[in-house]
Formats: sequence, C-alpha cells, structure tokens
Amino acid sequence: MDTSNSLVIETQNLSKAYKGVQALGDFNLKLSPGILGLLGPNGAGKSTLMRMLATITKPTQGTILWNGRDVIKDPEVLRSVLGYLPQDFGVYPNLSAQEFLEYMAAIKGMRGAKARRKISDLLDMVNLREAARRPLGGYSGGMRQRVGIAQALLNDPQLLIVDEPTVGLDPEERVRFRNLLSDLSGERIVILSTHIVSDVESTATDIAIIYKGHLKVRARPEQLLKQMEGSVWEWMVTSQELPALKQQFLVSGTTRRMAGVELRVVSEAQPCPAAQPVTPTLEDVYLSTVAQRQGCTV
Amino acid sequence: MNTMRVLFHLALADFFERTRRYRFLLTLAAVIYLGVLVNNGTAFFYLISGDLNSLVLRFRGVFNSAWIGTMTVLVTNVFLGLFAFYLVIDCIERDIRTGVGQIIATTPVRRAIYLIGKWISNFAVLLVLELILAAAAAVMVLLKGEAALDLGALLMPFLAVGFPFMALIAALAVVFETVPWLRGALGSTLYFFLWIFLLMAVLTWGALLAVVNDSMGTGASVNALSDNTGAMMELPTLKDPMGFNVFRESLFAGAAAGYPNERIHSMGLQAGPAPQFMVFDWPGMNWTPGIVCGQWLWAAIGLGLILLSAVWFARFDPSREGLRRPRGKPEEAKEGEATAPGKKGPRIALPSLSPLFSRLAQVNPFMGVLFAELRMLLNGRRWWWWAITAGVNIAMLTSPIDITKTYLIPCAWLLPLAIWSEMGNREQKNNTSQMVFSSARPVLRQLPAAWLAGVLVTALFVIAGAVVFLSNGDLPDLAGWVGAVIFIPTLALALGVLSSGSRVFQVVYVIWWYIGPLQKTPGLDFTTGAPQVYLLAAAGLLLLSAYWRGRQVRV
Repeated sequence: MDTSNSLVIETQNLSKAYKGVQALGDFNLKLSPGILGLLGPNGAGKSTLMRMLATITKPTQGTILWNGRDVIKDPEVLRSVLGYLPQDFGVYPNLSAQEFLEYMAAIKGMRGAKARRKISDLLDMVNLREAARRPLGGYSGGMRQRVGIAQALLNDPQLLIVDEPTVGLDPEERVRFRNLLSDLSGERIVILSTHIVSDVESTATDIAIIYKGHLKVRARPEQLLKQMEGSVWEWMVTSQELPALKQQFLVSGTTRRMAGVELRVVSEAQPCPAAQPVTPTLEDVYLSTVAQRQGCTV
Repeated sequence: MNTMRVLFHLALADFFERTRRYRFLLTLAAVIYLGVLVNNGTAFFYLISGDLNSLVLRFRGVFNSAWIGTMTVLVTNVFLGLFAFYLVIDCIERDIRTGVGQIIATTPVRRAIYLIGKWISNFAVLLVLELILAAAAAVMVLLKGEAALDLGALLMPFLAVGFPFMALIAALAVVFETVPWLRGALGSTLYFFLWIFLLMAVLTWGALLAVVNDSMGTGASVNALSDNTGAMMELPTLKDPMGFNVFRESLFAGAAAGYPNERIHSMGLQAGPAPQFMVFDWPGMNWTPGIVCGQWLWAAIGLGLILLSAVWFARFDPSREGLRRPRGKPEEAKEGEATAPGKKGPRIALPSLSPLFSRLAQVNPFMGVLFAELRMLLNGRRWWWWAITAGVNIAMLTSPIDITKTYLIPCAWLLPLAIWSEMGNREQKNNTSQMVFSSARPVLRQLPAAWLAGVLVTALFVIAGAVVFLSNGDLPDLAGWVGAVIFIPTLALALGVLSSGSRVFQVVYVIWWYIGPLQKTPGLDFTTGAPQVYLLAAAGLLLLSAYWRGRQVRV
C-alpha cells in the first residue's frame, strides 16, 4: 500500500533555548514527500532543528506533528520510520561494517532475515561489499560516511534526515549519493542539510534558508532563481581592483582568466557599465539572503 | 519489537567492541595472574583463632575444589569489586564519544532496554574474567593434587556468589554512567569510597557476628557444616554481596570440626609468602536454593537500580546532559551568536594572520604555551568547585594544626583530581592530537609546558598547606609538600600519556591517596617525609612521558 501521500511532518511554533541562548524560535514548517534542502550559515539552528525532528532533543516550546500525531509526547510514532545521519556521527571501531549494521538493524527493530537482506543490499549500494568484514577502525572517512548512509536507510525510512551527508565522499560517491537521494525522495520526506549548495541544487525539490534560528525563506528552487533574475552580474576586473570591489559588493564568485579576474556579483542595480547580467544560481540566492539578513546592501 | 533480539544485539555489539581491544588482553593477563596468586597460595583468606591469653593460630583448608573455588571467588570479589567497575564503566560514555549514541537516540529502542543491554554487556565482560578464573582454579586443583577435582564444588561459589556480585557491579557501572557528573573523576572517587564502605561493612558485620557468637557461647558449630534441614523450604536470605558471610559460618565450622579445641573467630587475608598454617578439610558449602537465590537478589537489585536510572537517563539529548563530542563542529548552543550582524560574511576583510598573535608568545614561545595550558586546566570549572577549594584552603589556615594535618591537607590533596585527570590525555579525548602533535615541538615544548602548568596549579590549590608548614617551621612537611606538588601532576601526566585516558590515573591515585596521605602508611605517603624518592620517581615518569609522547607524535 502506498502511504507516501499521507506523510506529513509539521512543526508548530517550535523553539529551543540552550542555557539562555535562543537556538530556534517560533519555527513553522510543513513538509510532504520530496527533498527539502536546508541551508543556513554556521550556528543558524539547522542541527538543532534536525535533532528535534529526529527526537533526540525536546523543544523548549512548540510541537512536532508526524501525520497529525504529536512526536514530542510520543516519539515512538516517528522513530520506527526515521532514518538519521548526523554530521559528526561515529562507529564502533572494533566492529565490522556488517556487524555494525546488524546491530543498528536490531535496535531499529528489524527482524533477522529481512535485516540481513537489507544489509546485503545496502552494502552493495554504498559500495562496501568487499570491506564489509573489516573493522571499521581501519576505514577512511568516506567509507565511514557510507556506513552512516547505509544505517540511515536500513529501516526504509519514511522520514530521512541527513546532515552534511556528502562530506568526505569523493566526487563519484557524491554523485551516487545525490542520485540515490533523488530516487528515494518520491515516496518519503528527505531533509538534507548542507553547506554544499550544489548538492541542494541538484536534488532539492524545496529549499529552506534558516538564519539565527528563524525560517527566512521557503520556496521551490525555480521560484528562488526567478526572484534573482537580473540581480547577478559578471565582468572582468584586474587583480589590483579586486580587494576594493570585494569590500564594495557582495561577491559570489571569482574566476581567473587570461585577461584578469572574472567577477560575479549579486546586486539589484547594475554595479558598473561593464557588468553583464547572468543566470543566477542557488549559491547567489543563498548569499544574497544571508547577506541581507546581516545588514549588507545588495 | 522483539525485545530479546534488541537486547542480544545491544549486548553483543558492545561486548565485541570491548573484547577486541588490545587493552582487554592486558586485563585478561592481569586476571590470570590474580588467579595464579590465589591458587598457588600467595593470596587467600585464612581463619584465625586465639585470644589475648593464647597463641594465635592460622588455619586454611585442604587445597580441594571447594576451598580453591571459594578462595578464588572471595579474593577476586574483593579486587574485582573495585577494578571491575573501572574496567566496564565506559559503555555509555563510549556511545557519546563515538557519536553512535545520537543515532541510537533516533531509534525505537527504549531507555530501559538500552541500559539493560549495556548491563548485560558489562556483565558478559566480567563473566569472561570469572570463567577464566574458574578454569585457572580447576587447573590448580589438578596441579596441587591434594584432592580429586569436583567441578560442582569448584564452580558453585562462582555461580552462587561470584556471578551475582559481578552482575551488581555491572549494574552500578551503568547507573553511574546515566548521571553525567558521575562519569568522571567524581564518580571514580565516589565508587572507591563505596567499595571501601562495603568492605568495612562486611568485615565489621563478620566481627560483630563473632562477638555475638562468643558472648552466647555458641562459636562455630559443627552442625553448620552439615545441617541441611529444611533447605528446600528456605527463603532467600540477603547476605553481603561479596559473599563473606555466605561462607563464614561453614568455614568456621569446618575448621572447628578439625580443631575442636580452638576458638576460631575471624578471617584474614594472606598476601605474600605463606607462613605456617593448620590445615583442615573443608568439603564445601551445602548450597541451598535460599543461599543461591539470596545472592542473586543482588543482581535483581542491580537490575532495579538500572530501571530506576532509566528515569533520569537523558538518552543522548545534548540539551539535557553535558555531552562531550570530540569530533566535528562545536555544540549548537552557540547558535544565534556565531554570525553576529557586525561580522559581514562575504565582505569581511582578512584579519592579521600572523601566527604569533600573542605578545607573550612572540617574546617567549614556551611561556605562551604555558599560559595556554594553564588556561585549559583552569577554564570551565564551576563556581562551587572554586568555592570548595578556597574554603578548604581558608580552613587550613584557620584550623588547629593537628586538624589541618590530619584531615584538611589530605582532603586538599584529593580536590584537584578532575584537573589532574585531564593531563596527558586531553589531546586524545578532544581529538586534537593531530593538530597539537603537528605543531612546533610537541615533546620539548608542549609537554613540559603542560607538566609545569599542572605543577603550578597543584601548588596553587594546596598553597595554604605550604603557608601552614612554613609558619610552624615544619620543614620536613614543607619538603613533603613540595615533593607532592611535583609528583602528583607528573604521575597524572605520565598515566594520561601512557593510557590515553583519565581512568587509570583516577583509580591509581585514589587508591594511593587513601593508603598514603589519608591512612599515613609509611613509604606510601607521598605528602610527608622524604620527598627525594618521589622527586626521583617524578623525574623518571617525566622522561617516560616524553618518550611515549614522542612515539605518539611519530605515529
């Protein structure tokens, strides 16, 4: 039975304070199947939000509803269908990947034969079949990350929360993971938090930008890009001019060319006569949003 | 959810994780050595007879299965009762340290189930040690050849007394770990005192029983050896968890049967070359369900404590407990502060990137590192900790000299335990070793700076002791004070560097402190008397630390 259409997670006036510091305030968000790309500067509240959604931390105020049921009061309604990959997770170094995944499958409540089948599939999927019997302590950072991805997918989660999942992966593995997320997103809710805007660009069906614990932007990527049209400019400058221009404008990129430096700037008005409008990217959108919140002019 | 399956996998993964370490092999070696000491007659309990008017005689049993099994259990219960706790107490902390805990927190596994799984894992580790001791005991019965091997008589003390006590310790370790402030130095110290209290209570209880029996004229009765009347009807009786009072009456009766004219009234621990003993034949306990169930009640009490601790266990919620996370980014408690409006992200001008920003470091690099080490040792202490330290120092200055020397100064030598515990292992604990060890002169600059910072902080925290000794012209004790100020942080640094953790120092120091400065045992009290021995030891330990740190840096 396809239950994906009924999947909804919703936060209502969610707030969290740590020893007087407001990490998240009055946060409202409603998600249905698809991938939400969660963007925000360091310390914006992304991990706090994800920890609360993952039932690790209780909010100071507000509620989280999973298909209409209160997760704060009864976290078990969500935990059995939840997959979570924290940013800085660890493993037991003396267990093999196979043993670690068997352990995680057991505590997720999966039965023997089903768990073994799933583990086997996931080891193939994350390309760890050959290393599956080796102790995790000898794995590289990327290999550990793949074990983390596998454990998050063990119980075929309806809600998948991944925090910086592509950190440490090589370009090939990163593309594989992006494709996997896209494949998964049709029938479940995926929350992807990352600083790598290109990961969001290639996978997210929705984007949320958090700043200082508040939701500032929530829209589809194409909407955001459309809003930025005519606000991104490029032109050639000399290396000597660059420092002053960086102080003057919101620079979203520089590229060395034979003729000098190609400067990419986010600005509502044309910065100089030589500047030509170019197609905006999500990175421009993100920088523009965060810069405005920091009181910079764009 | 299949609870048994979850419990099995929780315990199994944890058990494998611990037993596949190099350190576990060392533990096994130590336990086997303990077993050899017990079984070759170097360490066991003996019985004592005699009073003020007669010759004191010592008795031991024939080296049969019952005697060797019982002695192995009693001796190991005393020693493992202390060390087993420190061996297994890392199970929840490890889940926090490795970050596995935050993944577990998102699964349907319940707090109580998680804690019981950890308890089973702790118990399994200790069970391995007990089983090795049992096997060693069986080998020793065969080697001694004084009696035929009787597996029932040999193993019943383990099954009835050793295992439940290990189950209780395994549970206490879990309970201590559910309370964040009991995971560190304070927990190690508290458990040591709990162990001392238990040992004293057991011995006092036994002595009291002996006095009561003597006063009633009953003494040890031969009947206790064989009286099995109504065994099947017996209700479980809760005796001491170490099991001394389970065996006491039967052992006394066994000795009384062999030597009816002797008044056997107490037990003592033999450690070292054995003197002359009177030997009696002890066939072992008449094990009844009441005795066995009574001892296993301690395991049930342990389980009860675990279930109780599930109430306050924070389940890896970083907002409810001070989780130490060595990897990755800092806690999000800083959220909302990190991107202050004044700090413009994209347009920020590059600050000065000179690596020698501190004026002090520019003038003298060693002093720069020293001040940084001092800051790290002192930062983060709570106000009440400072208040207690200041209070003890003020009390030393204002109290009569005998009270200061007997109580306050020994107390002051324990207070900085948490600070010393960080020495030598901070880099591994906080996962900064790659950064620190790749900086300039980690062995010749950073390590000596860390050591000197420890010495200075130690001197500061017990400064009143020096003032008191100086004002009273007590130069020998002042010399002892200087020796201790140098020796303790050096010991902490050495054990921190060698073990890459704080637990070994905590255990060694607390035991040493209890025997030495508190009990004033000659030769072991490093705070008084001739400091030259400890200064020499400190020099050796410092060289050892430098050598070992050098190895760590090269790796």
